[in-house]
Amino acid sequence: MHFPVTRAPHREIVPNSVLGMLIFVGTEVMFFAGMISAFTITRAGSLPLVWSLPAGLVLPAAETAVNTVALIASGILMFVADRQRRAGRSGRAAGLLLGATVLGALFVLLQGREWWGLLSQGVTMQSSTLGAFFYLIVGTHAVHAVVAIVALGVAWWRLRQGTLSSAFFLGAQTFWYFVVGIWPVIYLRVYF
Amino acid sequence: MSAHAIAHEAHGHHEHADPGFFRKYLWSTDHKVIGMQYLFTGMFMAIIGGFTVYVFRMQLAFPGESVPGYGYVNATAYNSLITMHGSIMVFWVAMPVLIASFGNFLIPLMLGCDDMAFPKLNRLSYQIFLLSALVVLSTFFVPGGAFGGAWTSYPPLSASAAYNATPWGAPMWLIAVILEFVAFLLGGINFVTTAMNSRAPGMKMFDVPIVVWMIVLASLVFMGSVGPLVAGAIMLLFDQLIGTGFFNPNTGGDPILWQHLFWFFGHPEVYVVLLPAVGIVAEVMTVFSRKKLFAYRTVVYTALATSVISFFVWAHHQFIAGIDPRMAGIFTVTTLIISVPIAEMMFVYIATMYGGSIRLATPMLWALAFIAEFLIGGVTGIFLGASGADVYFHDTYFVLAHFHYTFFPIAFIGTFAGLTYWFPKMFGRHMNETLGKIHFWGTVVAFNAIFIPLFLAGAGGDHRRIFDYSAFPELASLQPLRQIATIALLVLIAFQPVFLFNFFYSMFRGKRATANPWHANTLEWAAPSPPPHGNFPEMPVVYRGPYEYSVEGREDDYWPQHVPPDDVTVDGPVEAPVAAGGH
Amino acid sequence: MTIARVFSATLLTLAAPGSALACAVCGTMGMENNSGAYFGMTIIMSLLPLCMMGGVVYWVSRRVAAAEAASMPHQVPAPSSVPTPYPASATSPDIA
Ligand code: HEM
Ligand SMILES: [Cu+2]
Repeated sequence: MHFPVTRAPHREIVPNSVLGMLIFVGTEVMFFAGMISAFTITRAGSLPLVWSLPAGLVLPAAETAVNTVALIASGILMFVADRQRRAGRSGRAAGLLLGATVLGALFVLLQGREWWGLLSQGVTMQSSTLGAFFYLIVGTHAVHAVVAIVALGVAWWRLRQGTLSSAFFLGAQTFWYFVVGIWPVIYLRVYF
Repeated sequence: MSAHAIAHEAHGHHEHADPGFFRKYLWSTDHKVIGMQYLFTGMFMAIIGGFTVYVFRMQLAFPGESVPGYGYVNATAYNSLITMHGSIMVFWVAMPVLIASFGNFLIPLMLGCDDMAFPKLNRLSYQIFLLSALVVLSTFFVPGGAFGGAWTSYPPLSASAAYNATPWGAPMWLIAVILEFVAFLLGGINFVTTAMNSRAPGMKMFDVPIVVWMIVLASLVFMGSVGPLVAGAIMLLFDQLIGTGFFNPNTGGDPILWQHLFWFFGHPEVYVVLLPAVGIVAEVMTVFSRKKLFAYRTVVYTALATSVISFFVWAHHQFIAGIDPRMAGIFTVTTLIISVPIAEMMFVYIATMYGGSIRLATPMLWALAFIAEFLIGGVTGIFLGASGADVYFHDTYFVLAHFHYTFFPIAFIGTFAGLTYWFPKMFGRHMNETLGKIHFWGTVVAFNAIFIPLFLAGAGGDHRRIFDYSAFPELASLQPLRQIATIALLVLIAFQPVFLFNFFYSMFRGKRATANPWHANTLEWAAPSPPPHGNFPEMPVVYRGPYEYSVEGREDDYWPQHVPPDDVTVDGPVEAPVAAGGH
Repeated sequence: MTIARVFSATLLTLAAPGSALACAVCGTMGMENNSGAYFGMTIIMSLLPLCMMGGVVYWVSRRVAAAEAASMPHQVPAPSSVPTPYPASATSPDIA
C-alpha cells in the first residue's frame, strides 16, 4: 500500500535551532557554574600556601582586561550584524560579522600569549590549586570560544555566498552570546 | 474503519528503494529505529549487569568458593564487579531504555508527527551512546581490570591508582560516563524541541499524554543537573591522569566537593529515571482500567513540583560525610517534602483504577506491581531522609534495599510494563500472555525475596561494599539472610529467559496485531502496527485529551484523540484481547 | 501566630547543630569560610537551573501569546480533508 509522504506540521513557535541551542546553553551554564562553584568552595577552604601561585606571582588581571574588552566588543558587533541582516543589508552584516569573528579570534590569541607567559614562569596545573583551576576554567572557556569562532567563520562565508540559513545563524549567534556573556563572570571570579 | 487508522500491514519502507541493512538499521535517522537501537543496546547491557550481580552475590553467600561460570572472586575483582553493576544498570540500562528508547519511539508517534526535530542529532546521540557502552565494556579487559571505586566514584579512592588499583579502568570509566551524558544531552534537546514544536494540529499542552510530559520533564531535569557532574568528572580525570589536586586535601583540594558535584546530579538522576516509568504506568493504567486518568493536570503539576524539588535534596546522601550539620537539617526537610508529590502520584493512580473495569493483562500486572513495590522504596526513603536515622542506616544494606525497591520497579518493572504494552505497536505482533504472566510472577516474587532479607540484614548492621563478611564474626548471624537473597536472585535470573524467548519469538511468530489492539486513545495507535517510515498515512489532527475512556453516552468505551467529534465509527470490530469495558 | 512560631522555632532548631560541625578531612583553618562558601554555592547552584528554565518558559510563552495575537500565523492549517480542530487551541497560551 502506498501513501504520499506528508511532512508533519511544524509550528515553530520558537525556531527549532534557537530552542535547541538555548537548552544546550543552559546545560553549558550549569557546567561552568559547577566549575566556578568548585573554585569558590575550594578557595574558601584551602590554606594559602597550597592555594596561591608559586613565589608571589599573580594572575595578569590588568592585561586580561584588554581581552575582555575585545570579546565584549565582538558580542556587540554580532548583535548589530544580526540587526543589519534582519533589515536585509547583508553586505553590511557580513562586514560586521567578520569584525566579530576577528575580535573573537584576537581574544583567543591574546589568551594564548598570556598562557605562554604563565607557563614559562612555572605556573602549571600541578604547581598549585589556583593554577589548576585557572587552566581548567579558562581553558574550557577557550575551547568553547574556538568552536564558536569556527561557527562564526562558517556563518560569515555562507552569508557572503548567500547560502546562510537563519537556523544556522541563530544557533551560532546564541552560542556566541553565551561565550561572550560567561566570560566576565569567569574574569571577575578567577582573576581577582 | 476510521479514515485515520487504516490497519494495513506495513512492511518496511514504501516510498524508497530498499536502503539495505546497514543504512536501514545502523545509519538510520528514523526515530523508531533509533529507539530500537537504544532498546537492544540497553537489553544487552542489562545482561552484562545481571551477570556481574550474579557473580558477586554468589561470593557474598558462599565466600571464597569458585563461582560457576566465573571462578574465584578476589577483592579487586569484587570491587570492579559491583562498580560495573551499579554504573551499567543506572547509566547504560535505565537511562537508555526508559528515556532514550521509549522517548524516541513514543514521542513523535504520540505527538502525531513524522520524526524528531533534529533527526541527525538523534542518530549522533545513539552513536555516541554506543561508543560509551563499548568503552565501558572494554574496561573489563584492560590491565588492572574495570574500575572499582563504586558507581559514586568518591575520591581519594577514585582519584589515585595507588588506591583503586585500576590505572586504566578508572579514567576509562569517567570517559565513558562523560560520553554517555553527551549522548543524552543531544537526545534531551531533541525531546524538548520536538514536544514544543511538532505537536499535531489541535494538540494543546494538556492534550499531551502523560508519558511524553514525563520524558520531557525528565530530560529537563537531566540537563539542568548534569553540568556540574561533567565538570567534576573532568576535574577527577585530571587528578587521575596528570596529577592535579582538585580533590586531594594535601594540595589544597576538597574531596567532599566531589560528593556535592556527584549528588547534585545523582539525586535528580533518580527522578530522571523515575518520571518516565511513572508516565508509562499512567498510560497502561488508564487503558486497562478503561477510565479517564484521575486529575490529569494534577499529575502534570505534581511532576513539575517533583522536578523542581529534586534540585534541593542532594546532600541527603552526605549526612555523615562531614558536611555542615545545619545543612543536614535543611536537607532533611527538603527530602521529606519531596516524598509528598511522589505519594500524591501514587494516590492518583489508585484513584484512576477505582471503579474502573480492570483487566489484568500482563502490562497491567506490571503497572500494579510498579505501584506496590515503588511504594516500599519510597517509604523506606523517608527513614533515610531523616538525618538522625541515617547516621545508623547510611551505607548499610538497608540503603541498598531502599534504592533497589525504587530502581528495580523503575528500570525493570516499568520497562516490562511499557514493553508488553507497546510491543504490538513496535513489532506488529502480540506477545504471549501465558508466558508473560509466568515471567511476571517469577520476577516479582523473586525480587521481593531478594530485598526483604537485605532490609533485615541492613537493619542488623550489615555494611555495603564488603567483599567477605567472614572478617566480621559479629555479623555472622546474618549469613542466612545473605544466602536467601542470593538464592532468590538465582530464581529471578532463571525467569528472565522466559521473557527473552517470549520477546524474540513473538517478534517473528506472535499473533498479528491490528493498529489499535488495546483500544487505546493516544495517537500512536492511529498509526499502522508497526508504523512505517513517516509514521502516519495521513497526519492526524487532535480533537480531545488522551484519556477519554468510558465517556457517558458513547457506544465505545474509548474515544481516540484523532477521531473527529461527529465520527461515531470505530476501528473495526472489537477483537479478542480486549474485554468490553465501561459501565 | 502559631505558624510563625512553628516556623521560627524550626529555623532555630536547624541552626542549633552547628556546633557539631566536624570534618574528617579539613584542617581547622578556613573552616568557617568553607562552610559559608558551601552554603552560598548550594543556594546558587540549586536556583540557577530553575531560574534559567523559568526564564525560557516565560520567554516562550510570551512568544506564543504574541503569535496567537497576530491571528495564529504559526498554526499550520489542518489538512483539508478533515475539519479544523476545536478553536480553543488558538486562544489558550500553549507553552509546553
Ligand atoms: C520518596 C522519595 C525518596 C526518598 C525520601 C529517598 C531518600 C534517600 C536517602 C536519604 C538516601 C541516602 C541514604 C544513605 O546513603 O545513607 C537514599 C539513597 C539512595 N536512593 Fe533514595 N529516596 C527516594 C527515592 C528514590 C528514588 C526514586 C530512587 C531511584 C530511582 C532512589 C535511589 C537511591 C539510590 C541509588 C540511593 C543510594 C546511592 C548510593 O549510596 O549508592 N531513591 N535515598
Ligand atoms: Cu537522593
